[in-house]
Formats: sequence, C-alpha cells, structure tokens
Amino acid sequence: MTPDARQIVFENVSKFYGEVLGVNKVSFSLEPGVTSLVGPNGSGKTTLMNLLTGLIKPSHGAIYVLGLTTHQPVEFFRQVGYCTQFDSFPPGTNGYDFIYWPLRLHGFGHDQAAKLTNEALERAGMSQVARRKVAGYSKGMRQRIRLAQAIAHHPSVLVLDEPLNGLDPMARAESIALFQAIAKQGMHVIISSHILEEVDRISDRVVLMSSGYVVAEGQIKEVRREVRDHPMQILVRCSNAAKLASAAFELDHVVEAKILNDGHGVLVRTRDAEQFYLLLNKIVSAGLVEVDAVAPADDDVNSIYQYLIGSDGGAA
Amino acid sequence: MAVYKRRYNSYSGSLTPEWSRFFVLTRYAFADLFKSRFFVLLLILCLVPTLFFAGYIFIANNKTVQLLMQLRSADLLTVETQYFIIIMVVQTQAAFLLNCWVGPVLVAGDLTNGALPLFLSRPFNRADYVLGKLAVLGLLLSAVTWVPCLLLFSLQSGLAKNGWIWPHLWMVVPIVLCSAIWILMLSLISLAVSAWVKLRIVATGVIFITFFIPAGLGEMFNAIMGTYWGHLLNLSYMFKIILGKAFRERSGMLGALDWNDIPVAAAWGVMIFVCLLSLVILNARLRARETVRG
Repeated sequence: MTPDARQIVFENVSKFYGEVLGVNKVSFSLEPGVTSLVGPNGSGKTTLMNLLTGLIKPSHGAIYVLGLTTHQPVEFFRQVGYCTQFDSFPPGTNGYDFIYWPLRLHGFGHDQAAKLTNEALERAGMSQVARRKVAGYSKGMRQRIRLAQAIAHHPSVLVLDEPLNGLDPMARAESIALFQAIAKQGMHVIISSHILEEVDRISDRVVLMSSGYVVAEGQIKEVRREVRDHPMQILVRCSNAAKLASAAFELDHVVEAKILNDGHGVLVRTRDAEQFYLLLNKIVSAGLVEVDAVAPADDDVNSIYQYLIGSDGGAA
Repeated sequence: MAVYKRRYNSYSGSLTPEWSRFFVLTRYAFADLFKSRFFVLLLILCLVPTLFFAGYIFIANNKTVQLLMQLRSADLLTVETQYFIIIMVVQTQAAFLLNCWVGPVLVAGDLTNGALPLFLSRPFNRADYVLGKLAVLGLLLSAVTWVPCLLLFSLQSGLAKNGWIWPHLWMVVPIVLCSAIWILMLSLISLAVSAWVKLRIVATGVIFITFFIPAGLGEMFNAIMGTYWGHLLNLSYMFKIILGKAFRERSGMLGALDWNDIPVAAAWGVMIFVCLLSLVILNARLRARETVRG
C-alpha cells in the first residue's frame, strides 16, 4: 500500500516491552483535523504517541506520517511536533531557551530560531514570562510553554499528550481554540485526554483504546452507530409525550420509552434510530404531537467510552 | 466531516548542516556551566600549573633570570621528555578533578527532568545526544591537557631555539594520543555514571570509587597472589603504562613502572574495555520513551 502524503497511517502496528504489551495490531489511518486518543490508564495511548513521534520503534508493522517514516529523520521530525505529558525541561532552562535550543536542533539558524521562538511564545501567550526559569512556572504555564515548543518549528502533525491537564478554564478554552485553529489550517492534531467532555467538543474523530488494542476508531457519531449492543437514546421534547411514547412502543426496535418527569418529553431507547426518526416524522406530519426538540442523548465520547470500555470515562 | 482549507505551509528555508547539530547541546551545556562561579574557579585552578610550567620553561631557557635568581643550570631539570611527562601527569589529574565536577550533571539532569523525549523527537538521535555531551567534556578536558601541553611545547621550542623542536617533534603524537585516550575514558565513565546516578554528590563519589576501589582491590590481589596482573584494575596505572611507553621513558612521576610489568597492549585493552562498558551502560539508560502510563 502506498501511504497517502496527507494521512497518518498505522499498519498492523504492535509494540511489546519485553513481555509487556504496549499496543497490539493497531491499524488505522487519520485525516487532517483533531483526533483524540481516549482510554483508561495503561491502555497504550502514550505508547501510540511515542510510536507516532518516532521515539520508539514498533515491534511489528509500519507507521507512515504524511508518507514519511523515521528512516527519513530530517523530513519526518520536521513534520512532527510533540508536547509530552510529563515535564521535560532541561535543568535550569528558561522559557525562551526551552523553545530556542530545540529549534537549533532542527537546524534553524540563530535568526530564524529566534524569530520562530518569539512567534511560538506569542501564540501560547507566554511572551511576558519567557525569560523566567521554567522551574518557577505554574502548572498551566508549563503546559503552555510545552505547547509553544511543540508548535514552534511549524510542524504539520501536532501530537499532544494530555495537553489540557492543569489548565484553568480560561487557559483551557484558549488552548482548545488554538488546537481548532491549527486543525482548520489543515494540520493533524492528535490529542490524548481524559477530559471526555472536551474531547467531545474539539474532536473530529476519536481512537478508543483499551489494554493495548484499538476498540473503536472514527467520527464519534459513526462509532456510536456501530455500537449496536447499546440502543441509541433519543430525547424528544414535545407536547403530547404519552402519545409519542405509545406510538414508539409499537416499533419492534424501541426497547424503552420513558416519559420525562415534567411530562413534556420522552426518552426513547432504540436499536434503529433511522426508523424512529421516520416514525417521528409521520407523527408530527399527522399533527398528533408538537415537537420542540429532538437530540441524541448518548452519541458523545463519554457514552461510547462507557459502552465500549465499561467504566465511567469521566472518572478515568 | 469538516472541510479543511490547506493554508498551512511548513518552513522551507535553509538549515544548518546535520553533522554540526550535536554542538547545540554542547553550546547549551557550556552556557549553563559558565553560569557557575565554582566551575570557572575550578577551571582556572586546573590551568594554574600550566603557568608554573611556563614560568619554569622561561627560567630554564633564560640565563639572565637564572643569574638573578642565583640558580645553576645543573640544579634545573632540563626541559626534555621527563619534563613533559610531568606536565602530562599533573594536567591529566587536573582533568580528572574537572571531570568529577562537570560530568555527573550532564546526563542526570536530562534524565531526571525527562528531557530526552524533547531532544529525541527532533532529527537528533541518541548517538548525537551522547556526542553532544561528550563534546562538552572533550573540549573542557582538552583545554587542560593536550592544549596547554602543546602550548608549553611551542614555548619551549621558541625559547630553546637551536633546532630543539626537530628532535622533539615526535612528542606531539604521545601528548595528543595519551590525552585523547584519557579524556575519552574519563568522559565516557562520567557520562555512564551520570546516566545511572542522579545525585551529583553520589555520582562524583561513584567516579572516585571507579578509580580507587578497584585499584585497591588490585593491589590486594597482587599481594595475595604474588603477581602484578591486579594492576589491570587500576585505570590510572594503565594510563601511566601507556604514557610511559608512548614517551619511551620511565619517570619517577609514573611510579614504579617496570617494562616487564603489564604489557602495553593489555593497558590499551583495559582502556578500550572500560570505554565500551560505559557505552553499553549509556545505551541501556538513554531511552527515548517516557514512562508509559496511559
């Protein structure tokens, strides 16, 4: 298979640390946009990121990042920016040097490295404190300076391991806006996060991992549709909830229709959402109920996480 | 599916040569080292003997000063092979002290702070990393060993005149070669220790132990077994064997060396073995990945 120059491709990738499984038989391809890696601790997210950034080699399989492999290190690492999960600050360094020196490792000359450093500091909102020692930064500032060094060399693939940890709500919102802006420019943004509500907000697609295996991968709604063991939940706010509930029950695929406490809506669980929407159209057309709102209640990352991985994603 | 407009362009300008990028780490480490006053003081102290040696060469070649100081030429050690062996021994010991201060922090700081992924997620591999750190010690220890030695050699050549340089030119090779093997061994040992031990004080202690405890054990072995092969555990002794053979001289500064003692090939073998062992340790300790938790 010829790797696509715009995709990130994992071909049957496995990584073992001795006898310990890191990830096993992982195959997927990612388009530009925001992709979130979701899974409990020890599921292999960081291993996957380390593989993606060329820090470790796969035991089996092949990885192509925009058509490149780690055998072309100069081109490969030019395309990848990595924001690590843990502190990775050389001792005694300040914010400016933390970005400037790695840029020199990329081969930028002094002037260009200084220009890119200032640009990255500006984007991360760290210009004012750039000359302070990183050791004196708050957790949120450390996250932002890491993000700045990851984007400083203008990579096309940005890999961010838990980038929202420790950020206050304002900084979190700013970071999310930055990720989205970067993704809209046509870059790959790969994020691992435990904060599923935010994953839901920012991700174009998710890769769900558990025990080293990819459990599901794709756009969130597509993944939800594929989870057939768990009927879809659809919340309908309407005028005549009892009528809608009784009509819904006539359908074989509806397993539950629960009238809300305020009597102005029904929560339907169905194995065939498309058929239910058709029924709803008919009922509304017939003028039996007046519908205020219809919304899927469980096609978010948190629900998928609970269905596929079996624990509370929010608590992971 | 979102629609993405590809407006993003990567940098496509000129870059520095790949081979020179390991010097980035060296420059960064030097910038950090020279912030320490103690380091600067230690470096100056390591160079002080060179000033005395230079002064001695000046006096040894200047009859007027000798008369003023009421010294007789016969009282002075002639500046010949023996003299340069003394310089080498003193300066390599100074290099050892400097190495004990600088070496332990070079890798340990990066490992403690998890900085390896930062470096290695660039077009920069572990060999470049080791080379960058090795260059720090290589340059520093060169500045107190073969560089001052060659400067003193040049000074002597200039002051002695009468073609002194030509019959002594061969000494340039042992000066550089012996310094190089000593610097390489010291640097690799301290990088390996630095990769293994995180606390500077403990790492410095381990470096001392590496040199002195095996030497003591070797002496015990010699005494018990009535042999001289225990010297193989004494790295300083091995270096002196190489130094003595390279300078074709047995000097008082080299201790009780005996040409029938350890063969010089064995001394080289020990040095090379220690270097390889240090590389194996560095290979085991310098890993790109972070702790895998999620």
